[in-house]
Amino acid sequence: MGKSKKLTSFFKGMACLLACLLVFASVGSGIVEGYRGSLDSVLGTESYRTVEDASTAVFKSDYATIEEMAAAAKDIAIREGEEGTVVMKNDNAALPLAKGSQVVLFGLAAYAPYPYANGDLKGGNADAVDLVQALEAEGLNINATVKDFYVTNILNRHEEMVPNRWTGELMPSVAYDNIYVAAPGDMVDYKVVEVAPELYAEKGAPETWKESIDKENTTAIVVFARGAGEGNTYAPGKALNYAGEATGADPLALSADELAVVDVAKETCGKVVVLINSGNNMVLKEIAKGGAHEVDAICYIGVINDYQLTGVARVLTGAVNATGAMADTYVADNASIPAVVNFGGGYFADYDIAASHGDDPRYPGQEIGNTETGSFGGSASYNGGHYIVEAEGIYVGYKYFETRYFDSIANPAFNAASAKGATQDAAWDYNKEVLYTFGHGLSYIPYEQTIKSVTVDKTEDGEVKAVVAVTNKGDKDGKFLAQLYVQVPYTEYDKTNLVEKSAVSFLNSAKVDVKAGETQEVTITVPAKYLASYDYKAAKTWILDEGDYLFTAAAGSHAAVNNFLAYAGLETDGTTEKGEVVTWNLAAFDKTTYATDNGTAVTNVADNADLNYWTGKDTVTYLSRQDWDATYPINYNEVEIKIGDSPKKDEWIAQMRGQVYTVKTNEPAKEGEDTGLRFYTVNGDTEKIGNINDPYWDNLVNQILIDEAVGAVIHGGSRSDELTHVENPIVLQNEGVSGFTTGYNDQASGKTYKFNIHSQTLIGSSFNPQLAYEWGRVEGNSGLWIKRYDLWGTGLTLRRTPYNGRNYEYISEDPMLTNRMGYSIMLGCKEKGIMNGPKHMGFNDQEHNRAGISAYMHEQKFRETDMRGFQGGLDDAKGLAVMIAFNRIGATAAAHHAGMIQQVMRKEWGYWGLISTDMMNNSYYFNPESMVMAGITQVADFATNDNHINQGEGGVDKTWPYISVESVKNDATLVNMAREDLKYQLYTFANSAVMNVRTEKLTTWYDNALNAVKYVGGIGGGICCLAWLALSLLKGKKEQEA
Amino acid sequence: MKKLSVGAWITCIAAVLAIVALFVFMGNTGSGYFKDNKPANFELYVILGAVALVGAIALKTGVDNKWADLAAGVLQVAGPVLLALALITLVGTRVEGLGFIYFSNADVAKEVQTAENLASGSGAIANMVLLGCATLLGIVGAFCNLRKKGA
Repeated sequence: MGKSKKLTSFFKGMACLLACLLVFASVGSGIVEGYRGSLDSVLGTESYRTVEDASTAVFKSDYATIEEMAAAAKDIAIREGEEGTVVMKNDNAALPLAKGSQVVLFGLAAYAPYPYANGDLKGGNADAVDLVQALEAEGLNINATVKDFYVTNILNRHEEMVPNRWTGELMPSVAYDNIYVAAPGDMVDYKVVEVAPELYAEKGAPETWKESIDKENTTAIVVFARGAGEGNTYAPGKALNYAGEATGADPLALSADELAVVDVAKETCGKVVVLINSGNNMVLKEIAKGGAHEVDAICYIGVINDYQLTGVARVLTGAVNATGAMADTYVADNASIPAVVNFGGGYFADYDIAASHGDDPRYPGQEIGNTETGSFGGSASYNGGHYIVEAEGIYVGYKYFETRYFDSIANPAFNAASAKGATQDAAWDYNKEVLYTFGHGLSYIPYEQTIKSVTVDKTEDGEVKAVVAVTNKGDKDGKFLAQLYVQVPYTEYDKTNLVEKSAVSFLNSAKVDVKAGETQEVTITVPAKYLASYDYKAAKTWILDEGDYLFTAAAGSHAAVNNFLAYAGLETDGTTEKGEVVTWNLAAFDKTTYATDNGTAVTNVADNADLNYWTGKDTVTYLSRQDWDATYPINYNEVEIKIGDSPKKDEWIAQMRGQVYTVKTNEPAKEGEDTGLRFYTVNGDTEKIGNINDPYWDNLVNQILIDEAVGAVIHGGSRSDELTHVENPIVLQNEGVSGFTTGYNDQASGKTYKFNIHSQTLIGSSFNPQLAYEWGRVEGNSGLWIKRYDLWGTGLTLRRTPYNGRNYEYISEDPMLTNRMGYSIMLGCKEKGIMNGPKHMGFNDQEHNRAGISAYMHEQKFRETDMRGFQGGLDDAKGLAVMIAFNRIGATAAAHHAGMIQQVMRKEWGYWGLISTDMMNNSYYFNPESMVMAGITQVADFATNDNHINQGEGGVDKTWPYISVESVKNDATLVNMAREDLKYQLYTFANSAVMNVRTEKLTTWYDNALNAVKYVGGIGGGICCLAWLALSLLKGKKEQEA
Repeated sequence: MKKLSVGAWITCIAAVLAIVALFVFMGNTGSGYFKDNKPANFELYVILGAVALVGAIALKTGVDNKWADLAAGVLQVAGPVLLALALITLVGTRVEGLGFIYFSNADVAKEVQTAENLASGSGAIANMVLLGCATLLGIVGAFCNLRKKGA
């Protein structure tokens, strides 16, 4: 009897245990499916195998072996260092350093340049080169006493075991006793970590360290760095010193501790060279000409990677000529930048008016705020009440400083000498405000660039072709940089209609090798459409003013504007040598040539990005060169602006709430039906692959189920979703801007090759589109080797201010330099079939509250700044992917902005590639129906493989419960648009190297384990259950009988 | 109470832990990172699971016949299964958030790992641990008779 009782309990317990295991395995399988990519990465398993048939591959590597591939990548990286290093200042023949010279390295970054840690920004190859190695390889003798002291006593690189917050597991992490702050945080205090010489003794410096330096024959190289990062934003005035005390200074300015290091370098060495190792413009007034701590030479070395320092060292030693140029304008005080006036953002006085107290029909009964949420989510909020006004308009960087300078001489009535914006004197003075302008860069070898001729083909696809003669006036052969600038007419029409014109605009550049004493001609081309200006008030399209268009070749924007002044017979400031100007005349005002693009009429799409649109009055005065004094920006965050006072209050609130599109209820959509058409049937069919209008594509996507069509767009994830009836390829997205972070494991040698070895900052300052193109090809080739085809592999947002934590990922403050570099990189990648999507299109101008901040602006700025930066890659190169910014353009989330995405990108530019959002972190901000209707092809909502809208409670969408098959099946417009979005996705895949391979699903050990548990749980549980019931009933019967 | 076996006490603790987990869940979804992030039917599963466990004890100790024994046994099995279902459902909706909070890149760690987010993360983990313990104890309880021998 006792035994029977025990058996009964045993089977009952086993039934319970096995049933629980069945539940875990069954539901767990679904979870595992969603995170398969991440699981594989952690466990080292493979869920998908790409099978390549080399004989039929459309896109083939240019390199026969991985060694050749790696050598080509390394070569580009070294050339980025050679061509991107900018000699900003070079007095007393400080540079180049002769081979065999004695040098002393000062500064933390000299021994650990930024970034010191491997990751998104740095490859971390075994043969990576640091500054000491690079300088020694170039034959310089580095003072060992100071080096040893810095390396051992100050930095003391070591590994620290840092506990993982979750698991508690101790993980090794690179650490230093003293190092600059690599991640400045989000508008918080920034500690400028640099050990001042007064602490050297305390840190154990040898007493005789100064005596180890032969002052007269030694050059000090001092390196200063500033960190950066995603979600990071510098805060003006928030610097702390080494001791941790607030100084009230700009964190991007050299600190007293850093200047003390400069001073000791000057005291102990005959010459001092400072290297600036940062992607954020630093304030160098103190060490520049006339500064209290002036040094002999300053060089910009940007944000380095594995091999760039070899190139930097070659520039420092003169092994190659210095040809880099400033991609940004360095000023004496960042407060002099008009865009900085409105930096950071603030709230509308009554921002809470847009909050929902249960009245949002999509979220009945829910409280939803309207405040900041941070970059990574938070409490329920639309995050639409926080804003900046980009009142500077087109006057970003040098376009502001050089235009105001031009007007200070050419147009006295424009009030350029006003005190507004002046930080160095009572009246604004260019030469006091600007230290190193855009395009500035000194060459070791004297040379001259002279524009010889210009032709302008004023048609939709026409080009400007300029011939520039570059004369080597030195006694050494070398490479030289030629830069093409234009001044377009600024007319009465422009003044009346507030069409702003920069007095000087960069168009494009090229590098050329010229033998000593010889002259070489180089032809620089650029699409002629970039001469046009956007008139958002009168013509509401692109215009070309009548008059003379002045072209010049010059070593920087200031030299160019001086050429224009001299051409007009005006006195210049005399800081540059006079250069030639060639003119092209347009006889009559033209508002038609560029009013149509790709067969689409070009007109305003962003009227509501202007804050004045909403307030109904001239709340914002945008900067206009016709009166620098009256229109200089004020901080609109200090102006009381009420949403409730708007004549368009309800429309404004709807935009803030993301109600750009409302799901219809009376337009039944057709359910997808399997017609037997499959994606892979397109393979090799060049007619279909080359024509998105081929009926095949519509027929293919019309098969997609309603659930999957909407689901695959709004739950895109970091890989494409499987679509029933389509059998589409599974394509993984990859980081990052320096190249694929995934390495290539060579099984033959056991070596791992990393190809994320590029530097965005140095490619920008190289001013060499050809080098950018070669990098694009190499980046594309690396994708073919590692079999990854979809990459967020460049950044083309403009560096509007120095404070954006993502500046290191971008190219320049200038739209056209960014445009030409973006064009080149994306073209190179496209030629190898790689979908290289630039980040973050649509004014990611600050990381602070990037997850919803409203950037208000007028349409001329919208068209001519950030958008133009991306246009080269997307319109001209027809690149294959792009990532849309987080923030809002006006009150509209960039990812909801049909004007930008549908009208400009798809229609005007004819762009047909992938369009992804940034990370979907706030379901109240990212609105699914609006994203579908805007044309997003895939929402970035992390690793899930979920293309359904029925996974939530009651069969609704799990993220947006008001979305379900039931709610969207009566909106044919929405469903068809989702299919259209997927059509673009599939068409892009068909035109990429994805077609090189076939994806096969594999069964991993964890799949087997889960299946085994399911079977054991199901069958075993059932048997145990039956056994338990039988024993229980038997026992009952026996008891009755007894 | 004297009738209760060790197994009944274990089952009882499982039910109490499940209820505590429910309160932790309500706190965790009331504010912070997981605010309003409620997996489908979670509360229902937990409540039914706890009720099943308590019901099993009540039946077993209150009524002494074959069918009551059988029903109590069914409830002893159903309780942990419902709690297991709640647990795995919860895990499914928390993986992404926890990955976000604890495993984001180093350069964004400062922003991600705010006190509020970390509190939400540890709340979610506590929630899962409590439910896991409740399920485990429920399973252990299912191996036991709920009434003392001869009681």
